[in-house]
Amino acid sequence: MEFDWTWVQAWQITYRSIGLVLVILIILTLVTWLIGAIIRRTARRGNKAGSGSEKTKSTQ
Amino acid sequence: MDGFFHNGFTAISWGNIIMIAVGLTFIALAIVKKWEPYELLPIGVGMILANLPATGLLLQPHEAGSEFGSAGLLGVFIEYGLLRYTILPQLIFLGLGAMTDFGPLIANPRLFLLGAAAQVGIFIAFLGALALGHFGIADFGLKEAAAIGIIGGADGPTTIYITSQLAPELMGVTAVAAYSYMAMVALIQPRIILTLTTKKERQTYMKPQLREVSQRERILFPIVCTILVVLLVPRSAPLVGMLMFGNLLRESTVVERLVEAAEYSLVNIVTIILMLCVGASMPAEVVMNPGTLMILALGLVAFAAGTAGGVLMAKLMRLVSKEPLNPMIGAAGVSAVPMSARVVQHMGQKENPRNFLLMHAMGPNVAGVISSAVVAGAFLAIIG
Repeated sequence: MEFDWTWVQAWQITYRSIGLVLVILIILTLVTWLIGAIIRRTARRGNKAGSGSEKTKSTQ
Repeated sequence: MDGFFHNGFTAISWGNIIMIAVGLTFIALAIVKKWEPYELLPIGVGMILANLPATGLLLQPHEAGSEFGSAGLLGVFIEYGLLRYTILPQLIFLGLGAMTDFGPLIANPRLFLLGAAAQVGIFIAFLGALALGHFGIADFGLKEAAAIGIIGGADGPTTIYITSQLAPELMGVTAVAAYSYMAMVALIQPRIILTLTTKKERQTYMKPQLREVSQRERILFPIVCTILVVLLVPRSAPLVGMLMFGNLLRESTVVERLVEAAEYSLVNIVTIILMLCVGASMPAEVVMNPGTLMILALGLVAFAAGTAGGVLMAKLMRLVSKEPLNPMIGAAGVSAVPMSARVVQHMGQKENPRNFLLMHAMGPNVAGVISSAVVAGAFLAIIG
């Protein structure tokens, strides 16, 4: 009986595509979360510094 | 005088008459039921025009040869807009990007996983189509199977983009299947959600407000997303690049006129041309065969399996999530923006009137658009 290479190709396409999609989306999840965390932290520091100087001003 | 009356009536076949009737049904559904009218109305007209004989409208430039003025309007659009350069779906993606708010996804990036899980339908239909081809039931090879599978992404432009490159002869049917199932989201998805979830799960309360997303995040998202995705899957650049470019226009807030043009004028013009082409890709001699019914059936399987995949992934995430997670939002992972998110919102309110799930469902919904574009790029890279 002749071996059907189409199925081998199909499985390869399926697991390679699924793997690729998962890897990309996991990376995107992490990167999006990381960017958000960095921006929020920077904003919080900025706010703190801002409110600190306000305090200093008012005390002066 | 005799020939004047003879031309059309003598050349028309029963297949043409049936397809004209289908076209009229589409127009009726668009006008009376308001089912995806922006798509179904021009598709219906395209279908009728394609099945009226001897019009010359479908004659493509490469078929017309060197004779000036002999190519038909629809033939020109189909050849240059879809088959040769595939410009039209990419332009739609540009407009989609300008319309899309990625805020819910940026606020809760783990929702990307729901968009990924909902793509499982694509692969089930892909393998199903190959099995039909393998057993000699239908004439589907790898390329046709990929074009059929992508219907499960529930994303019209992606389906058209992939089919026009891998199996152009199937373009009309796969596009109509994708748009029809998107129009029927409210009929298909609730049954699957009800089957896979318990009442208690469906009643799970999620806080309505998401964290505020800063403009800096909104601007960085499309840029980072494009660079990362395109570096990993270069063939997804036409879709992901255009989607993210449109979104950057929107989020930059400095090019209002361009956003307006992309969001309204461009999308409207391209939709008219693209949908006419989709309808016109369905002359009777191409569509009237058992393969069409199988494609429609496989598309439905893909769509249903995608919904199930999203819901099951949401159930899994619920087990490890600190915050309560309503598994119904997983169903919105199939693109179909914003219909599937609305279905989830509607069902959520019905189960628990305090629940307002729309914004939570929009996250997986837009993640689904990105995911299906990535799968499309992967298919093109591996099979195309």
